[in-house]
Amino acid sequence: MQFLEIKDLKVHYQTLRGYVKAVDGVDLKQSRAETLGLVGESACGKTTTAFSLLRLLPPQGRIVAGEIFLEGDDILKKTSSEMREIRWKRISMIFQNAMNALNPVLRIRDQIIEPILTHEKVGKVEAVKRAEELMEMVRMDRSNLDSYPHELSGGMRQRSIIAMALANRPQLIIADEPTSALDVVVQAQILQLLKDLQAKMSLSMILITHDLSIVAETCNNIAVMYAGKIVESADAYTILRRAEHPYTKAMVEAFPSLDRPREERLTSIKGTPPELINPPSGCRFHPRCPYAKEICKIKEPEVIGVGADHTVACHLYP
Amino acid sequence: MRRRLENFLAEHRKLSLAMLFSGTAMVITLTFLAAFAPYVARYSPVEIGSTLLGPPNSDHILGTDALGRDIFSRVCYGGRASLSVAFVAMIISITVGSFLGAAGGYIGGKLDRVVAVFMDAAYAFPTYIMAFMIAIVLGPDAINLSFAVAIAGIPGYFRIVRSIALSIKERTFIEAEVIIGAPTKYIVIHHILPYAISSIIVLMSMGVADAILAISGLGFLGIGIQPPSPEWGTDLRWGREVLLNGQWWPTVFPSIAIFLAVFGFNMLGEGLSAIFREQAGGRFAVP
Amino acid sequence: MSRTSYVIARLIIAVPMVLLLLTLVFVVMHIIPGDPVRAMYGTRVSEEFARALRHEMGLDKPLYSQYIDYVLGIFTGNLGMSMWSKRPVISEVLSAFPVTLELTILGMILSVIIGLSLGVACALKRDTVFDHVVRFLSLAGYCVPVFVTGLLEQFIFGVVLHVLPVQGRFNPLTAPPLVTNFAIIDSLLTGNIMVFWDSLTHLVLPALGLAIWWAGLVARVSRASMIETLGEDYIMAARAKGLAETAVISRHALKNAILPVVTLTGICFAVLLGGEMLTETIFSIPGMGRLMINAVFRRDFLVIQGCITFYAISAVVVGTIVDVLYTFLDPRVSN
Repeated sequence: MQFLEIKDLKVHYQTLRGYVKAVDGVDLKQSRAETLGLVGESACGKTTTAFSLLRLLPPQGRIVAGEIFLEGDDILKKTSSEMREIRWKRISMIFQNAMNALNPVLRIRDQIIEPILTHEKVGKVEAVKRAEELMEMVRMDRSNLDSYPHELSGGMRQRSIIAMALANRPQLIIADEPTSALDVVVQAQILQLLKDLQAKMSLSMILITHDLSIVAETCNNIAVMYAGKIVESADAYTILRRAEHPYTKAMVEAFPSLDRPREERLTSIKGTPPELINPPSGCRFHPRCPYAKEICKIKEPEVIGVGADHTVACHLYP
Repeated sequence: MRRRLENFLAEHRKLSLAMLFSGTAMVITLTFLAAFAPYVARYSPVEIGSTLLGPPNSDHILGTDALGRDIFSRVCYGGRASLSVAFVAMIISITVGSFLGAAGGYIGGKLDRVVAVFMDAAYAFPTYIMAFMIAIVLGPDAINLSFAVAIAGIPGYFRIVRSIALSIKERTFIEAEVIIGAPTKYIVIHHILPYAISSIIVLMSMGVADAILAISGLGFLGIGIQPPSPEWGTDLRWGREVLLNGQWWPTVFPSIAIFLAVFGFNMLGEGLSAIFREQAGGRFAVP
Repeated sequence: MSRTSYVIARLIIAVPMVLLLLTLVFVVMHIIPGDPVRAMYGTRVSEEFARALRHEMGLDKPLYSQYIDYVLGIFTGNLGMSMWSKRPVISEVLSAFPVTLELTILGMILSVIIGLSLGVACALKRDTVFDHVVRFLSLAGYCVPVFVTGLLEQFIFGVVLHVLPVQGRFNPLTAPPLVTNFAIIDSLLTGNIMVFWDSLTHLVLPALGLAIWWAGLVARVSRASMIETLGEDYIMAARAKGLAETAVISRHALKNAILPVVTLTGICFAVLLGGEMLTETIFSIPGMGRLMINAVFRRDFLVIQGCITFYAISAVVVGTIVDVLYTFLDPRVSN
């Protein structure tokens, strides 16, 4: 049985401007203790997919189709009280901007022990002890527990929410752009911390990001999303060195590499990501794709296997 | 049914237009009655009549007061007093307050800090009591009354406009203008003023409402516009005497007039504010 | 800057604030009218009488001397003599002040309780019929002058329904002995439950009148603040942690949402003092408002000045207390 399996997930938003198909038929598989990277441009649906796992969509959002199995458990069929049990205890989250994810009027300690007290039958003293251990795990001095969020630096705040995410020893952690708000040096420290924690605790992690350089370091497998659909998924090496989908290839090309000649111009993908109220017909990438054919404008490509655990959705294949 | 109503109301645009419309309607009606009082009202507001405290009837549609004066006329002519004094007070207040606030906020410096501290202290003082104080010192006369209310309101407007000016000053597009060498006067006229104008218009509308409340309050206490001149608050002072005898009309009609005026101007302001907010995409400066 | 030093700084600033306000009062009362005696009496009195009056009130001294007398007088408790009652102004004001304070504070508490609960409820039921009705009523409540609300209350509850008293503070036959002149405190101190209840019923309508006027604004601010807070990421994070919705709202949202309301309460007191003056008139409550209005008609200059002085000082004091309270609620303030 797969650790995590998402089948044909469709999430739509009813907004004032129209009906947005944010996630339109996403399939994902993840094994235990694996780090899965979910990569794509802004508003491609990766965060929505993640929030669907916790069933924490804003009121205008609805999961209209699909199934999500966590260790065989159908998440989408859970009642709200069952869902509350799952949140943080089985699936937790590391947010992008720690300053926003932390309540400014509560101390760090109170915010870390909160999920412990909610989900487990321990007293406050025990919970505080656990919080102190968590602080050590993320390499922070335990005196920081007394602080308020605004008193800590960006890196320390991020570590705090990592500690918070680990509080109930969850099975799955979703890291939503965990380093986007940090400068490069701190970014490296946090990524290293995540790698070490994952190795030590055999965590399963979904790492959401738009930054390919991060997934290169940390992920076992990568799924590339575009305009609400998964366009390619494979192990990290394959995606970065042997990508097949034009979008993936273009994205990899767009990242300047240290081992390429310097005279090369920076490449980018022409055009902008589409509005999901009225997505392009057929393959959603076709307006920006250098290889677009007639059929790309008409028919959506199906997901096809092109290698060992390597799938692509593109009319160039088979 | 309720779902339908809620969906309808959830279209904010319709709601703000409705507010705007109803507010404007009330304001226009009252202003009309006030402005054209001599043509609309059948009797003179100060003409002492024969029927004392007569209930509303076909002759005196709102009844007569304790001196036999027609209440409908008094309400219309009283509207002239309340609305004009309120309007003048608001204009003075907002002009002085905005000018000082915008200049202080944008230009800054020592002078601004001194003025700001002074205004902060004045702001802490109850506005109504400040108006009261100035009114009794100057004497109960329409012009003095508008000064009293105006001066009492200045610190409030100063603070608001100053904070608007401060927030605009920080914005990058202003920085850009300064860098490319635009003179201060140009910046103030072409960038700061248009941005602040929508806020100021809303403030003006709400300001008239507040001024009307202040004026009628002072009238009620007997230090506003003096009898026999008609004014809503002053009339209420005398109407109150007979209320407990069951003669409700000298009290109710001026009260309704005050309410419609204040409510109308406030709704107008709210509607405008909501529309400006939508146009500006969410952020709007009026608290 | 730590919180303690911030609080101390705030308290220290209050002193010049008060002085500034007192200067303002002085300017308005002594300088603007030119000759306060003439302003009070017009041409009704002879010049000799006016001169004698000026001398008695110390108004013939040079301005700076008057100013010093005034400020010093406040610190020594000497505000002059009431011309009408021949008693020291300070004792007149001190007997009226607790009455005003009690009513205003009660009005403030009621308006915050009503406004906050309605505002939060509206935020939670956003865009429902409830929300729109409450918002409409909030605006309407503010637009009815506070004295009209008072009259309405008197009429409905006093005349029509005959359930609540509409005049004064006590049933004249059972008034408690004066200790602090705070009706509620005095009656509790003397252990007299009936009088306590009596004073409470007398206070209900006037305080409610004030609350109706102001609660609307509190509701609007609470609603906006709550809506904004609920949109913050940490609320979503709290839900992600598996907390029940009630815990999310009470433990996370409310603590942040009430902050602007606390700030509002600071100016609430000052505004309600103004409205309270009118309420006292309607309900015949012997507070500072009535004292001052009577003094106006009796041409009792020093009493008017004394009342205004007290208004100024209490406004600054309450404002400072609220500011200090705010620093205890928001840990970000010391920056």
